[in-house]
Amino acid sequence: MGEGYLAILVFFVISTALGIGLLILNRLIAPKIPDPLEGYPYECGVPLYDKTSWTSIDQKYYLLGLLLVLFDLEAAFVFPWAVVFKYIAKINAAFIFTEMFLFLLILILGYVYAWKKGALKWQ
Amino acid sequence: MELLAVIIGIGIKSIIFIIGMFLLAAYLTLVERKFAGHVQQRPGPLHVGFHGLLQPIADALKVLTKEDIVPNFVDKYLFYLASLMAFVPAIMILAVIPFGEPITIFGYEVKPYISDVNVGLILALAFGSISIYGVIFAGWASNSKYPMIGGLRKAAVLIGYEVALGFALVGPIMLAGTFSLREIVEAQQGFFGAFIWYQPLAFVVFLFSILAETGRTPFDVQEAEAELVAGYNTEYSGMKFGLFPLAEWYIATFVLSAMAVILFFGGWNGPHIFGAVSPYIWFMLKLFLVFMFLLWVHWTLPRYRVDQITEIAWKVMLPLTFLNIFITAGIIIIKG
Repeated sequence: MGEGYLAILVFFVISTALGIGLLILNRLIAPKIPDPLEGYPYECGVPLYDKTSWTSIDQKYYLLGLLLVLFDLEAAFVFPWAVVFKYIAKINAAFIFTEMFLFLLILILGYVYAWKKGALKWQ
Repeated sequence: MELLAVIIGIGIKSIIFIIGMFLLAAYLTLVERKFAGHVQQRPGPLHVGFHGLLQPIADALKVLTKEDIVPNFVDKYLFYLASLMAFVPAIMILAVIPFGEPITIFGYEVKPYISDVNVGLILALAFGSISIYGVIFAGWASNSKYPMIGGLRKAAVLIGYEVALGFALVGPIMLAGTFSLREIVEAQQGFFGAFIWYQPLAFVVFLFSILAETGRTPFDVQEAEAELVAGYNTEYSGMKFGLFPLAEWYIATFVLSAMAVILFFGGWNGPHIFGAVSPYIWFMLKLFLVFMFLLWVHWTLPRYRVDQITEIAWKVMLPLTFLNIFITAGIIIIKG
């Protein structure tokens, strides 16, 4: 088992090294011809209105982002249940079914509440 | 000493896998360009080599010899990190994808996969999600309006499909009873053993998620050419730029097609009509069918608006996955 994770680590090191190597290779063999306007951000050829784009931007999915965190966590709880479902269903089907579907029911109630409140809409 | 030998062995295998993936990805660009050309009734690449066969090599050389420009106002470290963040996790999914059963050649056991950990599916999901951050970082680090909007849009798409993808995979996991991708394939014996017959809803949601994650057309809002110039990679040039399409359009699409084959089409299971190599031939055949299907979708459909994508994901796909979990649980209990 440990060998499996070791293999992933080795693969990670090699693929990172390859990515960095490609970037360095590009820097080494590409020509460098400086141009005064080379470092200018792309803006259709007109002077920039403001130099930075790191300003406050009105993004419209703030509530969806919060819901993503919640629901992704819930998905993480559902996964272990899904793995053992087939084995425990043979022993005690009613238990494993009600156990998780109470959990999912609460989740779905929250989902319906969010929908009714309009959190799923692009605000 | 033994550990060193194991590491060197794995290292050599990893290098073979990565180089193979690179060559494959290079020629997948040619496949896509030819396909796109014929969809739009033009020949596609034609002049470099016979019918453009050397075009990928010419492209790679061109990308490598382009000047490596870093614009003045960018966050320099994040700017470089972003292209690595897109590339490395995308190719990392390859580490957990099995291409077949272990075989014995000359008394030596060869495994056609890097690693078969018992959380393979979860790792694949995690790497897939991390590679999206490369796009978002690229948008932020560029410090320019168009990439910024592209990155924010990609974040919105991520928020949309991520939850649906997680819940969609619960169905196949319930049927197989394991996270190991190799054992999921083993659970699908025979033609009617493939999970596509039991999980059509999950498959639809999974296809939606692949298209959204790899940024292909119905959901390619992050680089909508007509609105955002080139989207999140407007300020990129040279190899920094080259890694983005390589990672997103080719490596990610390829390995996620492999995931779709493993989860829904029975992996390398198939009639033994090609002799000893038939598992590999079946796997590659199915994989390329899924890949070509994705290309077909890409080059025929128009694109959704970003708010439509999140609304489809949350209001259609997510209830479908809940329904799928209920149906699957019922079927497993009834069948016993």
